Formats: sequence, C-alpha cells, structure tokens
Amino acid sequence: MARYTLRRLLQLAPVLLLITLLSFGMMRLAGSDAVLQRMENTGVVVPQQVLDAARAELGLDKPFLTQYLTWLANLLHGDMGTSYISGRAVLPTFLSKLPATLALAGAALLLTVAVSVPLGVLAAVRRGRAADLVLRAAGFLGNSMPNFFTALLLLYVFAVRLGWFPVLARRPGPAGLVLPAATLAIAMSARYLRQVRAAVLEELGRDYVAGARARGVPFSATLVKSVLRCCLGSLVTLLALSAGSLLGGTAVVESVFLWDGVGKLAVDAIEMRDYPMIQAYVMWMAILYVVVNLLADLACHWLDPRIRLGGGAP
Amino acid sequence: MKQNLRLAACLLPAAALLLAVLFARQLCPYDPNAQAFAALAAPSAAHPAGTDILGRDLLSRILVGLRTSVLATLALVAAAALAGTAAGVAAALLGGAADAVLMRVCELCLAFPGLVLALGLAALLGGGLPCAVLALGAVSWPKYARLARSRTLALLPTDAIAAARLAGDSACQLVVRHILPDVAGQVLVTAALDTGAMMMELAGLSFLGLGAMPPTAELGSMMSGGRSLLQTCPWVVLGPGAAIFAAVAAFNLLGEALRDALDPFVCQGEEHEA
Amino acid sequence: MKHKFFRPLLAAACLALLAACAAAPQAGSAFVLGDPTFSAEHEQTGIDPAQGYSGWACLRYGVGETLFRYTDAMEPEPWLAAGYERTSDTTWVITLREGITFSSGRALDGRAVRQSLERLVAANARARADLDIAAITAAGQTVTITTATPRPALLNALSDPYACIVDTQAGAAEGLAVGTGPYVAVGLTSGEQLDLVKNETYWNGTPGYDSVTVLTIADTDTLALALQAGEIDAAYGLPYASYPLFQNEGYNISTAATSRTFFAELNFESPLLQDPAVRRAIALGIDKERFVQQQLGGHGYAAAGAFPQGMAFGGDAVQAAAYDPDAARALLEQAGWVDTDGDGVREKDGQKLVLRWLTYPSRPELPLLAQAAQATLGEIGFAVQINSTADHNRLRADPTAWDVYASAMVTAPTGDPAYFFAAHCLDDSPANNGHYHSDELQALAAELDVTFDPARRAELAVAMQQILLDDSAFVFCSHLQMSLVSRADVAGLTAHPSDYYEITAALRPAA
Repeated sequence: MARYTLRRLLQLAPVLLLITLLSFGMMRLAGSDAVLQRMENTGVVVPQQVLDAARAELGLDKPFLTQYLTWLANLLHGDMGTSYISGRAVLPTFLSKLPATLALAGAALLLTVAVSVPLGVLAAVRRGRAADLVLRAAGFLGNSMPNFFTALLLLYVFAVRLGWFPVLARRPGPAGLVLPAATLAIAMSARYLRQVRAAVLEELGRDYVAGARARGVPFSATLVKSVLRCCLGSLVTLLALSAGSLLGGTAVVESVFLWDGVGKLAVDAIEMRDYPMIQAYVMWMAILYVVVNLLADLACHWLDPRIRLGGGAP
Repeated sequence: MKQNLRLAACLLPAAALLLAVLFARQLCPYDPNAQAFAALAAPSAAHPAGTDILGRDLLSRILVGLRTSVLATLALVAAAALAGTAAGVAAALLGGAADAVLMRVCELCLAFPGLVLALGLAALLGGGLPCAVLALGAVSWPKYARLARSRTLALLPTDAIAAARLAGDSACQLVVRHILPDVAGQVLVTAALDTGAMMMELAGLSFLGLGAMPPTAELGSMMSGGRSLLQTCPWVVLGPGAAIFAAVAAFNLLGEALRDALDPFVCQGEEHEA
Repeated sequence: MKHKFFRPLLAAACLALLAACAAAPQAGSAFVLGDPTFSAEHEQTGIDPAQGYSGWACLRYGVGETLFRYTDAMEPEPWLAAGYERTSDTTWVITLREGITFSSGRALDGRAVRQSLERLVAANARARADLDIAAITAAGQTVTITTATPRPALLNALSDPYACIVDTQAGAAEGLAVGTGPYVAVGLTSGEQLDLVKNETYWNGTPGYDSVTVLTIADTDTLALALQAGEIDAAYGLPYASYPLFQNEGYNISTAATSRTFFAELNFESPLLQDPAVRRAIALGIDKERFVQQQLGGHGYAAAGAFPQGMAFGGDAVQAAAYDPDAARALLEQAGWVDTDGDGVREKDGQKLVLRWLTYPSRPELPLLAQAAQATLGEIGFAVQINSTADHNRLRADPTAWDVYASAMVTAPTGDPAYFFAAHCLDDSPANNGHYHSDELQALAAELDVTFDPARRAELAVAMQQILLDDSAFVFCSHLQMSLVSRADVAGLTAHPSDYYEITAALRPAA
C-alpha cells in the first residue's frame, strides 16, 4: 500500500511537467498578453515604445521555449515569479487565497451532506409517494439553476429583503459563509440527494433488512445502523471528487459574494493573461486531482478489498 | 401495465423536448432575430415571454435557444460519455502500465482549466459553439472514465464474470455482454445529471465570446446575459431558466428510463458518479 | 401600583436612548463608496500616482490633487497652481498657490512639486512619454518645466491623475501616497479596500465626512444589492439595468458624458471596404439613437465625432451621417451593389456584401451594438457576421480577419484632442487597426503637434474629425455615461466628465 501510494505520487512529476507546458502553450496560442489586456481595461492606448518596454520588462518578447524554460528553472529554485498584473510574488498571493477557498469548500460539503443525507433517506423510504416526487422535482430545479442565479436570489431575499446576512461579507466569518456555502450546496445537494436515495433503495432491497424486520428490530434502527453504513462508501467517493472541484475554486460564487478565493483569482488571471499566476493555479489543480484521485482509489480499496489498486499490485 | 405507464411518464417529456427541438423554427411565433418590438416589454398576450433588450420576442428565442442548447449539450455529453467509458473500461481491463498512463492523462485533463483550453482552441479553430463543445468535452470525459473504470473493476471479481471467463468468452464478448450493460446504466444517469451543468458551462464560455456567437440564441447565455435585469425585468432570466429546467428534467427522466431498459434485472440500481 | 416601578425605568431607558443618539455623531460620520474598478486588473494596485493608473484612484478618492484640473469642458484650469506663463515653446513657468500643505504637514513649494514630478517620470513610462520633460527647476513657489520638444498639451498632461502632487519625503506606505486633498489615506488592502480620514488642514474647504471607505466590489450586481441594503452609501459604475431601482427619492443619480466612446473602425485593407460607397453606407446604416435609447436605456449619448458634447471640439462641432437607410440603399444601388438573387444580401461582380464585424464581450454594450448594427445594416442589404470574442486583441492585428472593428476606448483622457488621432488614425499609431491613411490628416496632425493656441487646436481637431467622417473611416456610435448613485442622505457626490473628481470637499451628509 505504501509503495503504491509512493509510486502514484512519483507519477505526479510528469503530470505537472506536461500540464504546465500545455497551459503555457495554450495561453500563448490564445493571443493577446497582459500588456494588451491592461490597455483594454483602462481604455487608453499607450505609445508603441511604452508597450514594447512593458513587454520587455515581463520577458514577453522572448521566444516561447525560452520563457517556459526560464519559468521552469525559476520554479526549481522555488521561485514562482511575480504576477504580471499586481506585481506581487505569485506563491504568497496564491497561498493567501487558499484559506477562504478551503473554508467555503468545507462549509459547502458539510451543508450538502447535512441536507442531502436525511432528505435522500426520506425520499427512499417514501419511494413513489408525494415526498419523494417533490424531492425529485426539487432536485431537477437545483440541478438547472446556474450558480449566479442562486447566489443573487439568496442575496436578494436574505440580505436585501430580510436583512439576516450582510451583502458584503468581506470579513471571513460564519455569517458571511452561510450564503455562498448555501449557493454551492443547493446545486450539489440536488445530485447527492439522488445518489443517497438510490444507494439506500438498493440496500433496503437486500435480504438482511427483511430479516431484521422479521426479527422485530425497529426499522429506524436498521436504517441507521446497517443501511446508512453500507451507503457510506459511495458517499465518500463522491465527496472526495466534489472536494476536488470545489477546491479548484468557484469563480462565480466568489465574485458575487466577494469571497476572496482561488477561483476568481484564476479566472481573472486567465482573462488578463497573467501567465505566472495561471501556472500556479494549474499546478495546484494538478496536485489536487492527483491527491484526490489517489485518496478515492485508496478509499475504494479499503471499503471493498476485492477492488484491485491500479497497476495490479495491491 | 403499471410499468408501461411509468415508462411512458418518463419518455413523454423527452419526446416533447425532441419535438420542440426538431420544430423549433416552425413553433416560433416570430423571427427570433427580428428586432421588431419595444425593448424589455413585460410578458403579454402578443409576447407570452416578453421581449429582450434588443426588442426580440423572447418566446421565439427560447424555442430556438432550446434547440441550440440541447443539441450542443447532447453532443458534448455524448462525446464525453463515450470517450470516457471507452477509456475507463480499457484501463480497467488492460491494467498495468496502460491503466496508469490512462489515469494520469485523466488527471491531466481533469485538472486543466477549461477556460485556458477554450481560449487556445478558439485561437486554433476560430471559436464558435463547436469549439466550446470540444474544449468542455476535453475536460469532462475523465469523470466518465473514472466512473467506468471503477464500475468495471468492481465487476471483474464477481461470479458472473468468472463464469463467463470459464465459459471461454473472449475479452470482446465479456465487454459487450457483461460489462457495458452495467456501466452504461451508470454512465447514462450521470450524463443526464450533467446536462444542466453543461448548459451553463457552455454559457460561461459564450460570455467570453468563445461559444455561440450573437445573434444565435442559446439558453445559458440568455440567462447569464440578463443577470443584471433580474430585479427589474425578471422575465428575461426566468424564461430561459424555465426552459433549462424543463430540458434537465426531461433528460433525467429519459436517463432513468433508459437505464431501466438496459439493465432490467436491477429495478433500482445504485447510481455511482465520479 | 405597577406604574410606579415602570416610570423611572422608562425614564432611564429614554435617557439611555437619548445618550446613545447623542453619542452617535461623536463616533464620526462615515461614508462608504463601492467601486468595481479599483483593482490591479484595472491597473490600480493602490493610490500611488507613479504606479500604472493608480493615480486615478489617488485623484478620484480625494487624496491627491494636480497643478491643473479639468473644467466641465475638459480644459485645464489652475488648481494647486495659481497661474502659469509659457516663456518659450518648451519652457513653462508655473506659480504655485500659497499656503497649501500636504497632509504630512509639509508646505507645498516648488521643490516639493519638482520632487514629485521627477519621481513620476522616473517610474511611469506613460507620463514620461506624455510630458517629455528635459528639466525641472524650482525656486520658492515657482516651478520651471522645460520640455524636450514643444508640448502644446503639457497643461492637459499635468492635469492627468498621474501628475497628482505627492509628498515624496513623507514615507508613505507601499501603494499609498501623501497628497494635498481633502482626505488622507490611512490603510489599503489592494483590490479590496481603501481607508481614508478627513484632512483636518485641507486648504480648500472643510471635508464633510470624518472617514471614507472605498470598497472594491468587482461584481456590479453585488454592488447594486449592497447599495439597496444600505451597506454602502454610494456606488460608481452600476449596470444601467439596475438604474430603475434607484430612480426614486431614496437616491441621487449624478451622470456625465465621458470621452469613453463606442466606435467602429473600418478596415482599409479589406477589398470590400475599398469602395467608398460601402463605407458610407455603413455609416448611414447604424441607428445610433435607437441604440442609445433602447439598448442603453437612454443611459448614453449618441455620438457624432470622437469627442462628447461639452468639449470645445466635441459633439455637434462635426457633421456626421445621420441614420438614413434609404440614402444608404440608393448609394449602394448606384455603386452597383444589387441583390440579384433575392436573398436579401446585395452582390457585385459575384461578391456578396458580407461584413465581418469584430468586437469583444468584456464591455457588454459592444455585442449589443454589434447586433443592433447587424439588424439595421441587414435591412440595407449587408450580411453582418459578428465575431464577439475575447480573442480580439490578436485578431484586430490581422487585417484579413475583419472588416469592422468596434471597441470602447477613451478618446480624450487628458481633454486634449491630439491623443485620439495619435493613437488610432495616423500612420505610426499603435492602434490604427484599419490601416487608415490620409495625407491631409497627417498634415493637420503635424500642425496640431506644434499649435499652442487652444482655439486653433479646437479648429484643427474639428477639421481632423471631419476628415475621418468624410472618408467614413470611423463610425462613432455613442459616448459612455458615467454615473454616481448615492443615497439621499449624501450630498455633493457629482459625476464629472473627466471621470475623476469623485470624492471632494463638497461631499457631505445631506442637511
């Protein structure tokens, strides 16, 4: 197991190398550059010599491969460069946005589980009845509402109309966390609810449930002690993968709620062609997915040892 | 009898959606691109869904937008699901180095920001909806690959597979007869669940001018383009939103019906997702 | 019986309430402004005028002031300066107002101004190019600026936000600046928040608030919601769509036409646009009034030339083609563009009248303009293909990729007309995307470069715009309306055509 984990982590190196080269190349292909993007935003055309000087300062006048190798060499010395836009060091800037992203991802996952597990069980137990149908319809609704829509709706109702929460939750705190987490949880709960419902239904169909009932064990006890425990596996896998995408940031929600996380940072960087910042984000995503997938594989193996770990060497 | 009724209830919305998509143009009360009316008029008898900021009939735009969005989303989800399933099943069966390489490619694509890819592809291919579909497909197939792989790995040690192997089934027969029916059910349900999110993803790229070009109507962009109007002219957002909801519901019901049909022995199978 | 106990309690409660009310003003009057653009993405990492466009923030939020400021007609008038004298084409002697001090306490004198400007040109390439300073000398309350070449627009450049005069010896924290304005910057979180307090020793009136906070709210819908919820007192740059929410007695809206202009450049490398009739037909076939009234909801100004009404050489000073589809049809017909196959699109010599319209979506008005033009040009017999893409910066450099390029750029950032022509219309312009060339325009531009008389400069600017319009090289569609929306309990927040002076000494709680 340890050897397997180590090998998987070693495979991270080529993934990182490839992904950074790819994103570097793609951004060059995309045309424009930080200097032109800044000009577009300010709406003021600067003289050619000022443009050229700005490009030379950022090293944008060098050939593509030179730029990549310079970046790579600096990276190996622990230097991720400075942002083309803010002029600040990339790594500290990026790291400073992580706590907000972690907090939001954690809160959203907690809320999702808290909502979808009881409701999913309810839907399964009341299968085909009114409660089930209502929950399924609500699931479709949650599934088809874009994030910005949910976000603005929640802000309007709970911040502007009712005044329960501030619109501007700039200071990190529980009050500011509720609405953004709820926005994300509404969309995720719609999917989780269906997963939980299906998993519980499958368990309920098994012989041991009928056996327990025949022995006179209260249904609620069977549900909590046996059925839910069996459903845990699929839930954990799902949670691990949701965590992956949540930790990559959620630009729209972060933007609407002024939640200063990596998602908006990444989208801004891509739009502004802030190459060093994009590279940091791409590396974070690669590390994240490799680790999350590894955890998911290990968890699956642990829950069901018959499943072979990748590479045929469990 | 009851079974058939249930199936009909599942298929009816999808059939209605299909008809709306096929005959979108014929169903339009007006030319969806004609800027012939007052801008931002509230819903009325003449314009049941109101008009947009350019003075176009919204009902007509929702109908043709539904067509654009549904076709693009179907293409996107189908391509991602097919490619992902193929890669996932192959990785599970081949094992060893091939598995490791395929899974690392998965991680690479999963971690790659779709926006960066779309920007690059737009420069290469000239943008437009097909380019957006390609870019999103390239970053969304790994989900299906992981799903198909884990299902296949879970199936391999079962008695049914062991029996089939003993009976001398080739790898091909094994895949077609035993693995695909099981995997396809899960993939279908996941794909159906994905449609809503994918419609919005496409809109996200349109917002940067990397997806559908104006004046093409497309539901996601109609919704996000009207976001500032949410308080003052809500119909601009709610109309397309209702159409997305209808499409998502129809796709999901269809997905469930198809899964039941594909895998008749599991009347309520578990739904795994990656 | 009960009342006996309650009365003293009630009285005490009333007293406590009164005390609380009386105590509130002592806590200080505070003003919060929301602004979507105060961020590194808009080149404003802070308020240090020497850095990028941070001077905009320095000037907008009332920290810094310039030697000259723009009038409502965008002409420079003395501000920190008392007056000036131009002793030669390259020598300007500027006299400073007496009795002004920086918020650090240092007196504003010639030496301080020299240090501030020297620091600016050392750090800011744009300012260096605009000012073209060869030497600055200071003596008492005068500063003498010698430019390397004649700079007729020097005073305009000295009114630009980058020329905010700051105390270079005050040791301002990184990103901050110490100026002479009504408010003093005390804290900055780049891209999030700027904290200001009243300048107790301000030279030109008494600032109305004890403290001012500027919040960066990038999402304009959130900005509108925050104003609705009363969490901010005023907002800059709200989306037009949200105006109906604030058009009531609870709020004040102040607007001004700015020189940010939505205009279309025509590509002179495109074979189709070699035909003057086609270019003219495009100019005749765009309904600017309808665009402003319908798509901008009346929150804009139909443009004639490059500059807005209110400037000496702006607005109606030039003659632009009015929307006239019949004239456009006749013109095309005459030039041999006829729809022979009945598909609604005209042809000539087997070539279809297909117009590739390049634009970008980061300004939401631009795709709307493209679609509005597509409809009206379509009625004339053009087939307009829109390419609205974030990739426009690459594409506009490729003359084979487009016929019309519509953008939203500032045409007179310093109120001087020469900038626009130098940026977009001349042979060596960095953004002459359509490769337009006119001998006459080149000659007039050369004259403009050495003409000091403002009246003559205005004349030249009018003549030069008219050349562009007569050649149908540019179609100017509309000028951006800049607006400040404030709660009714705020007075003195006024939009200025320059888009600068937002927070001033006039800003105060409404009486």
